[in-house]
Amino acid sequence: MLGLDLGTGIITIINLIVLVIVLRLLLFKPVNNFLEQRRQKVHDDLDNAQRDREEAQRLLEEHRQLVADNKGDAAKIIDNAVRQADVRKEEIIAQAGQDAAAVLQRAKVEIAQEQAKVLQELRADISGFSVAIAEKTLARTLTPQDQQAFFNAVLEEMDSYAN
Amino acid sequence: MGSLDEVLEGAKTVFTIFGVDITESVVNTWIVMAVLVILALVFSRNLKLYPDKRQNIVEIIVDGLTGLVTSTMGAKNRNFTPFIGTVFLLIAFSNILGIFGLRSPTADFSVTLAYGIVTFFCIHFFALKAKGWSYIKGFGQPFIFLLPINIIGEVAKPFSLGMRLYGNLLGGSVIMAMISGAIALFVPAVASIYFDLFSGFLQSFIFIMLTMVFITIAKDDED
Repeated sequence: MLGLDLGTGIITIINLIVLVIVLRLLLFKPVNNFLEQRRQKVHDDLDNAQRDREEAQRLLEEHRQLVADNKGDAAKIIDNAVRQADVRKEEIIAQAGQDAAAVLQRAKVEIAQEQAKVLQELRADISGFSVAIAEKTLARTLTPQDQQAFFNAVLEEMDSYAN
Repeated sequence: MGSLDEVLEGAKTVFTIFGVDITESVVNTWIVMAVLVILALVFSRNLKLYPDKRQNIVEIIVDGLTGLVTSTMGAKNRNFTPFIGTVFLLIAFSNILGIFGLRSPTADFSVTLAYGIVTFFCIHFFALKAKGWSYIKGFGQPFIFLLPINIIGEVAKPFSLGMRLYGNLLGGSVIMAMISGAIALFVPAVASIYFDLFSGFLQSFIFIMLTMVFITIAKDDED
């Protein structure tokens, strides 16, 4: 029952060595290589995913920073525009005031000139009328001295009315 | 499974080549080897990134054996996986051969001792390769007069491994033959689940665990 057979033992050892070599080539090596490749691929994919996530996070931060900067710039631009508009408004108001004052001044000068001119014409007309009325009233022709005296009297009268 | 007499009689000679008797054990080992090679060919071809059921099975077996070797012997001894895996598959499939009515090759001491001798040479070859002359000197430690005892302990290892496997398998075969002789229906099938399947896998697992431990201790342990 416990008999040892040398031939069986030797053949068994050869069998085992042959089977180790065959299964190493047909089973263990290809399957282990394949599993290692897959492990490496999963590892690489995870690394890539991590890198992509970090890149996405970085881009998001940049984007946020950009938006924040743009918001600051926009506020600055609006502030500048408001300030410039205020300055411009003040300038326009000041200019308008100056223009109005100039127009008023010009109008006053023109009114004074017109007034003087009208007074001058009125004075001439009145002196003529006065002489004619006086001639008719006195039925004679006044001498130049009379006319001058009369004219001066009328002018004095008119000046008193004008004042 | 044969009768109790057939089991106790031992492996019969099937034929002779160049004066060497080819016993049942050798022929049945060849059958197991052929089955393993065919299964390896079928299961390991067209490996895909997304595995199907066939590929899942082979991945579980190979990855499981690789994990077992790595966890027991360390990552640096991962290249022992083909040897340990082959020994496991060969012994496990040999052990469960009884289910198919064939005599298990591992119920022959010549076969189990041969496995033990292969393990013995592996232990000392890799230990010598790793440690060199200091490994030989280690047999004289801690005292030189322990040298004979240490040598006897080392020589006993293949016998211990072979006897354990042979005894368990022969014992299982004897019990199965006795049960089959006593009760022909149903009971032998249930008993076969334990003695052929469970015990068969358990014994092959024990064999490779001891092999891995012996190799690792001899090769990697600091003196």
